[in-house]
Amino acid sequence: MTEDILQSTAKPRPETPGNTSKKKKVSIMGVLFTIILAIVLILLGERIVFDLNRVSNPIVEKSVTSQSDYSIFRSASSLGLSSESSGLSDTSIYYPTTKKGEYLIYKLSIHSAFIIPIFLLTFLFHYLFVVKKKYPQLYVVMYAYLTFAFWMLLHLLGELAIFISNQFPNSAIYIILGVLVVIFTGLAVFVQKRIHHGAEV
Amino acid sequence: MTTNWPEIDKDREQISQLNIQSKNGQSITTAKQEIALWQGKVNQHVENGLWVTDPDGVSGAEINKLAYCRKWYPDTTEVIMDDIEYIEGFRGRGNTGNNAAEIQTYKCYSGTAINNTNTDLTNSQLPTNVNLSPEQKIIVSPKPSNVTVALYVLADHKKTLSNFTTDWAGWVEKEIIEEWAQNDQGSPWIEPSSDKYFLTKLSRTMSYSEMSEDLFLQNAEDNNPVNSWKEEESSNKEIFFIILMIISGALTLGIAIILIWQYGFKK
Repeated sequence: MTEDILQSTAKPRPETPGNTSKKKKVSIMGVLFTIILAIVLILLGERIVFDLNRVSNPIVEKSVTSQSDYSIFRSASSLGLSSESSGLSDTSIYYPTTKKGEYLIYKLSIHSAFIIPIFLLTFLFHYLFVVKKKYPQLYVVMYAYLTFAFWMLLHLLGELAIFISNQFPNSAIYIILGVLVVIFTGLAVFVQKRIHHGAEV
Repeated sequence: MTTNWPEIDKDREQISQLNIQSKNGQSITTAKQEIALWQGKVNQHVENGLWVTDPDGVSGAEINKLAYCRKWYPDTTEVIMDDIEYIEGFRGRGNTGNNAAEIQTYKCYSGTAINNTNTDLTNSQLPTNVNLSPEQKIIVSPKPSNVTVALYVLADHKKTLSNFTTDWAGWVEKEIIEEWAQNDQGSPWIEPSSDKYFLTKLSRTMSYSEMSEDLFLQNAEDNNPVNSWKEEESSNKEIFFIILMIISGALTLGIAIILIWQYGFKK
């Protein structure tokens, strides 16, 4: 009977520090709850930005909770008002159509005032909990918050694109594509840096 | 058929369907010539008594109303806000889709316009002889004993008038006032110098005998809106907006400093 030299000579592959650090125990239920959390956070964020704009945009003239009221609609139409509504709220907001540009600037500022600090805060928590591993139990949850933060940032970029295309229709395509080039260049460089950093470790 | 004024009954609806020719040849075109504009939809106009969409599929509510009236009724000299009608068949860009709603309509007048559909036509305003075809007739109802008087006052403050009811009060922007009516040059009928005015609508039902005294408008105690679109003064929202910006700016700066300190210096 021949000897199985593979079994007798082969040694288990030694575990490198890099290998152990990449293996993290994540339960399926944890992932499921994280996905649900991300969806809930996105819905909450969308509702917050809509309500913030409703209560603090000086151009908004009226908030109407019932869409079925024809008298309100016809008054708005005859007064030259435009409306905006959210799928997460039965409230519509009305503003003068002639002030659409001004309304969009205020809206963009209000949304930025909420989204930018949220994005930075999430980034800080990600750094503390995931990169620095101060609280390993928050590792999975942070992905839900990161998804939420990136969703809101994309929302803001979309609004910026709409604003630019409304206000500067001729140069809009250059500005939007320029901004996208800068963002994706930065992201590509950042991801590549992380890969290089991981390979060195 | 020639009908003398005293024999004529008045019915505004019937008058609106006729083309009246006065003795001195001055015409009042009253056949239904109307337009309806809905933000985001293709404009509608009346053709053979029916509302139809603009075949170009792009003319929207932003267009100059007088110019748009002249597109369909070239003799138009004046555009006056009319009543609100339920109109079906409003289409989106490119004449796609189908929408119905109650929409503000505008009358396109040519010749001498009747400025308001509710105007009480007096003898001096109406022709003494009206030439009508046999199938046409004008019905004139008896003069009412009481009439409702409505006053619209544009000022820098809310106004009151004794025995009058305030039906509406609120700030109105300059741009909206300019949109209300246009003259035959297409310019705004009212050209406000300030950015906004306080509009007060006062009304009262009174008999003709009560209309012998002058009315003296007075400033109201406050500028609180009545049935107005604006729920509250925009200055409150401006304050909230400024507070939001300050808090957001401080948070952004604080988090950025912590991030730099954590990520940059510790590295």
